[in-house]
Amino acid sequence: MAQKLNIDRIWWRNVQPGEFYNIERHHQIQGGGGSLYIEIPSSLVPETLDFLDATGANVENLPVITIEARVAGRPHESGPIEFHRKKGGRMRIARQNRQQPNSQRHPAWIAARGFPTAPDDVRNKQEALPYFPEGGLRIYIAKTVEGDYYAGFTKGPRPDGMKPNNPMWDLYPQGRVVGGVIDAD
Amino acid sequence: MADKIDDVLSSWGAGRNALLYGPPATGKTRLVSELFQALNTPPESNRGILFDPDDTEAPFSRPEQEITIPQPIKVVWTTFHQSYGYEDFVLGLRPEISAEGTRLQHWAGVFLDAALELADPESQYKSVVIFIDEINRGNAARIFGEFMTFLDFDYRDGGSVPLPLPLRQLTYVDGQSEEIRRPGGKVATIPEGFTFPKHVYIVSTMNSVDRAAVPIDSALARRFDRIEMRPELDVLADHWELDRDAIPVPTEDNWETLTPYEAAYLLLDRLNVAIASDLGPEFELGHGLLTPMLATRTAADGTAQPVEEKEAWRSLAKIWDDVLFPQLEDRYSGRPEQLMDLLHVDTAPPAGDYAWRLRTAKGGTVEARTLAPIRVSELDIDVVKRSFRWLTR
Repeated sequence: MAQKLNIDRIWWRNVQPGEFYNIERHHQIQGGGGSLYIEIPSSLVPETLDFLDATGANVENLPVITIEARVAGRPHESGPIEFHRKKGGRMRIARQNRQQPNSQRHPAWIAARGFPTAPDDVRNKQEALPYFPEGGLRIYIAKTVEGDYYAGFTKGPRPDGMKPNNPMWDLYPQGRVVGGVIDAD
Repeated sequence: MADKIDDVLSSWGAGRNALLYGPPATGKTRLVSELFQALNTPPESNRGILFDPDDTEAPFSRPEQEITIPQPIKVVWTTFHQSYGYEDFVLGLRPEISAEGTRLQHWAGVFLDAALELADPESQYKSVVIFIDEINRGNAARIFGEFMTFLDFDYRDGGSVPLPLPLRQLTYVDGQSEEIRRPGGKVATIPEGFTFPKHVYIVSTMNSVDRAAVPIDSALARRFDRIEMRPELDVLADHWELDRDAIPVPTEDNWETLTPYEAAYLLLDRLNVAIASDLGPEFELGHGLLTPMLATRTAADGTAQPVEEKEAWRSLAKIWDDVLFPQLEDRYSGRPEQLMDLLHVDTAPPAGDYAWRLRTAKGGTVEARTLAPIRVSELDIDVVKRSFRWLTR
């Protein structure tokens, strides 16, 4: 077992079934485009900027922030994660649709790592639903105190017997929580 | 609970003793017991996150709680009471009978023995922790004597003004005291100018309600960090697996639908608000009074099965009769009108029998304003349900 690392904060986002469909489906669908990314709602933007060491930045003029994140469970693998600004004070993690030509789906969030997946020809959210894990899906990015990033995900309901002081407690939220940042302190 | 353990360890780390105080059944003794375990097997901390980069399923964990005092730690328990004295805690005399006759021999009490333990070159221990239960049941000035000074870490070895032990009752020859007997058959002597060792830590408990106990001596009090133990409704919610956000506010429309656990939770909440307002928060009822309320029963196959609702109501009624109501009676002693108000005696439910009512004489000629004696657990189940549900409002 590798030496355990000290974590500073964990950024996480509750992936909704509609988003799951958007990042799994064919990138060109009849009737227009649609989002090929994971959105960061405006309520989560200040915490996200803080997490990315861009505290207080004006999101309307924000340049693309790219971090290199290793894969939780396979630390020798890594991939970039691009945070883009989006109108309305929102942000997005860009190019997460796995079928788009320039896809940059992070290697922690792929089927080979156990990330849920829907068939390539899935046509709508309803068709994607049976492939969406019961109990939900969350992606997370952990930042070590040294400033290194690790990406991973959780799926399904909170495991039985998990104690409230477990740092993964919030990664299995109850109810409609969009996401957040877990501070080690 | 882990937060409170953090608080105690943090007090010790800062060279202060800790005093846990609060009403009965708020988890003081339980905390001391968990602390005792923590000193042997450090539990997970509530702060800090560790990450195992090779683990996919559960990569995050908490670091072990840091034990801030040197280990290994010797742990000693003692309980103060009205007959507890200086001889038990510091230094006493006991008769020793031999062929030459009877002579009095010095015996180390709990506190001095802790100091002698750390001064013993053969000891394996680096710290001693003394748990004192019910610290306000003894006479602190009589128990601590001049050793009250050594509760303060400043006057110990390594402190800012270390003082020699002032044990004038001992005779010193060639710079060494006469022999002092210790528990376990050991014998020790003290060199002249001996200073009290640094690593003797105390955690004590004090019941804030008990009228039989004296208020804590101010000289003693200022040498302890006070850690308040309050009734915590969340403990009940967790114990009964209630979603605390889903517990309804009792209203005209929903009070008759409350489950026994919701009723018990809301009942304690209401009683404590009333008690805090009438008597002060130190008189509130601890959550531990309600934790014995049955939630599950072990089935024949060994699995835990939820109890039937009727059984849960009966269990609440029994706890009310045997524990809660006697505590209320005690707190509202001499305030019968306030107690009757609290029990809604004059504002009973609009329909149906209600547990608490005024006492009447058979002849009907005496005008009384006193509560009729009642054991709720002996009433019809519908009356039990109606009464507790009504009492939550």
